[in-house]
Amino acid sequence: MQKTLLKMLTYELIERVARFDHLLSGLTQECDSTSVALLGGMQERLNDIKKDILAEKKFLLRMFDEKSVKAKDFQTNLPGMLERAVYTPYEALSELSGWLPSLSALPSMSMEPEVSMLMNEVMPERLFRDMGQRSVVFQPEPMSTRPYVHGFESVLLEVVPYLQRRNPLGWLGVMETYSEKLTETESAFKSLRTKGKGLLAEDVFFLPLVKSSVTLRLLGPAYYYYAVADALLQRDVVFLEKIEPALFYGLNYFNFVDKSLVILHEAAEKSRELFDFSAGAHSGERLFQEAEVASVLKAVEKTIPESRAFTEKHFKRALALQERLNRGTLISASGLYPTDEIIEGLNQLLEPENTSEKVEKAGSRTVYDMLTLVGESPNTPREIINAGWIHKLERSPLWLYDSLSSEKNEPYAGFDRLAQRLSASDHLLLKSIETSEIHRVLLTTV
Amino acid sequence: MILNESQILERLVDPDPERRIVITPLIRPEEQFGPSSVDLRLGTDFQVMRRSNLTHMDVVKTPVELEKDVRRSMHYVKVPPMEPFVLHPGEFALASTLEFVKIPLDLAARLEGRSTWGRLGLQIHATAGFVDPGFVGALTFELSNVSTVPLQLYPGVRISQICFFDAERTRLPYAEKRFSKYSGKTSTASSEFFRDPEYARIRKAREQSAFV
Repeated sequence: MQKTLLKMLTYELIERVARFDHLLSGLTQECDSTSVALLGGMQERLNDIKKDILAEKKFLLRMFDEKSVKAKDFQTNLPGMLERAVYTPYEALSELSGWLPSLSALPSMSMEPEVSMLMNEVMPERLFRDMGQRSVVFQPEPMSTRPYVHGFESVLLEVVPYLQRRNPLGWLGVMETYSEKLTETESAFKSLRTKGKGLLAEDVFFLPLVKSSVTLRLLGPAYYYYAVADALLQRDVVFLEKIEPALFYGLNYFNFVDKSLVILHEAAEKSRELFDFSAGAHSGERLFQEAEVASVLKAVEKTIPESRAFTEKHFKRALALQERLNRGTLISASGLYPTDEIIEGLNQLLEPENTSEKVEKAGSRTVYDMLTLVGESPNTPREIINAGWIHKLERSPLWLYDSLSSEKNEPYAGFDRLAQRLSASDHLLLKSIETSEIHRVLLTTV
Repeated sequence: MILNESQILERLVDPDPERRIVITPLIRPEEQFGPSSVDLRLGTDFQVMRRSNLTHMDVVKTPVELEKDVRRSMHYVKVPPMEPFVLHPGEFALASTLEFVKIPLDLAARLEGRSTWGRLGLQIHATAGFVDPGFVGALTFELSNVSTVPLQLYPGVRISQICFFDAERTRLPYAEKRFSKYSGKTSTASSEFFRDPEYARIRKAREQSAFV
């Protein structure tokens, strides 16, 4: 499992580097003279970061070999290597992203219609109204995928880093603000908060647990993938130590079952051995008890009924989309063709002596009956995003290996290949979300 | 032989993925199917030629420079799902189908306009209506408005139809063709003429014939 954790951490870093690189390369074509020098400097710094990562390439590639990972020297050098190959470059990248607002070619704020499609699906109209006017905007600022909110009581802007603008898998934090609001307004949570004992009595643990559990109920396992990946890279001690085990319990509670979830949970458990948790401000032996988590999850179920939740049924649909994502096919809709039924009906129709009148008289299915059967139903943005996360987890070890396997004469070619892959994958998910929206409109009965 | 509605339907549900026609999303098949065709819908992204100071596409330039020129000369328009794209009289725009299409290796296809829109002056392709066996992706529209009034085009509207022809199974599927440029795209793709190998040959010949 240590292997999984290492691969995941390294991949998350390399993905961010590749995205950053892609963003800067795109700006080169549109940059005015005032930004050229700054952009050149940023590209140079980014190349230094890539160089630092690739300096540990030999060690990093050992992650792909079971024996190497178990070797004593690997284990001994691991903490230092993680610092050099992952966390130091990540900090440098975060620092570099602080320069993005100075690039004039980058809009100070931009919006993506697909975010609204996701928000509209998840947020009930009543609560949306209660929360006033809300917008999700992308700004060239912080590196963390966690959004921050600013604005007034009635107008809220949720800011997501510009780097995640075209990556729907990096948007999921926007829903946390909504979940946080529910912890303050919904009676089920208010009562838990006043009556809670143990860790539930401490806001510093209670609030993140409720917020994460509500978001899990709304977004499904995609939120778990997102939150764990982000916490590992941010070394979020509270989340990894207290919230992650409770969320994993929540996955089982809501019947989300897949091996990717177990693997990720075990990787998060391993992180507790690697990271120095004693340094955390809220460290402590005690974890949430099963009964405490269950009481929170019950309150979550009460607040978010099944009709609004992301359920096991949705997750199964998302899992079924993997094959199509692997082939690069649009996943905006799914069909459940009762093939045998159609083929049998078709055989009758294709018989030359069976005219339409004869078929109709015999009470068999007409062509129109069968056409209705092959109509597809739109997948929801949540199903599409969940499918995207499962696909990412499945593919990222291969992509990571390829990114690290650069040629001598083109040392950074692996980063370019990853950027191309990410761009294609982002586009496919966004296109699927957008197409599913049109699909829903065209299914409306008039 | 052109496939009729039942034969298209049979191919849509064929258990063998090699023989299956893929058209997704298939939103309202009962409205989209005709006797020998399936209506396809308009997507959301458009490309319009921009008036610029670029006098021509200079093929002597490198493909990278030419790609930049093509980008500079195209205006990219993304239309939100419920908003129209307006195609003015005499205007030309590139667009693509909402649907993702996959043609099996033993079928070829033709993309045609619908008479409903033809009567209003909309042409959906200038010359390239043929779809190769093995094509995968969104199909490109070369839209022209030859009437005298602007046309409002909403994403999701059926502006075209595709029909299928039996063909001998190819050993050169479009997606695997050595110089195929538009395979697997899920949105509107502009011309990549500069990737045609002829231009590399012309450039080389011009460099070598310095004395004329």
